[in-house]
Amino acid sequence: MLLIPCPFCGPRPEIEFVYGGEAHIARPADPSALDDAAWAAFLHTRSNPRGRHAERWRHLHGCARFFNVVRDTVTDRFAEHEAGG
Amino acid sequence: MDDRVRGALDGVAPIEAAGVTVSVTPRFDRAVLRGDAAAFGVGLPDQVGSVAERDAGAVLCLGPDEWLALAIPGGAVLRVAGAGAAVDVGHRQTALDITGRLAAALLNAGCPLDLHVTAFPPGSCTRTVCGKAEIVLWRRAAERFHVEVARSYAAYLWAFLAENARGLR
Repeated sequence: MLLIPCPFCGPRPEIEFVYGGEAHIARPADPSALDDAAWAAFLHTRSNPRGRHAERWRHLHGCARFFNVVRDTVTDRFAEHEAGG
Repeated sequence: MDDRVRGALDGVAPIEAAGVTVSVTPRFDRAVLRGDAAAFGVGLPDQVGSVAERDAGAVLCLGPDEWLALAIPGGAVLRVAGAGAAVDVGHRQTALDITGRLAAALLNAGCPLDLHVTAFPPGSCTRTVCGKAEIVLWRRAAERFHVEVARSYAAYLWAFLAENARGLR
């Protein structure tokens, strides 16, 4: 089981968290101006890197807060927290 | 809170096992407080995971803007002045009192936290899981835990603890 560093509660077991997907995905300001390909890219295309990955987690069964953190997808090691968004 | 509403575990005999006893606590008032700590009439702990005891009751800090008030009488806790919300959840949860030398061991049958007394000392609280149920855990003393569980999960958690208490040595 992963130990995930919650910025409010410290390292806690993975079972208390839900994954929130890749961080920093901004919804287009005017979706109606996009064509289908651009909208599909916003909805479905993610960077899926090998290595450092900024992602969102929610400490659902703890403080219940969302936070951003960088995880290495090769080693599963968590690096620094980031500002929300 | 309305005394006409039945509790989830009314009349259940305590679980007595080697080194641990689990009992249902007497009923008391509860409230969830959300928002700015300054909006509430009672003093609130500001560190997530800390507890402020008040007479027979307590206020548990569960998140950066979330508190659970237990057994604070008189309705004072429900008075809000400012950016906050107080909700009476007296009937939402049932509380268990787990005492004894193996209290932490029993909880660890379903709770993934490190409950060693140095890692989770008396006066600590948190929301976590036990088996398939979400619980709020408050360590009142080295060998005494207060567990809050949703009333719809209370029968499940009770059966889970009774089953696992049989395996303690």
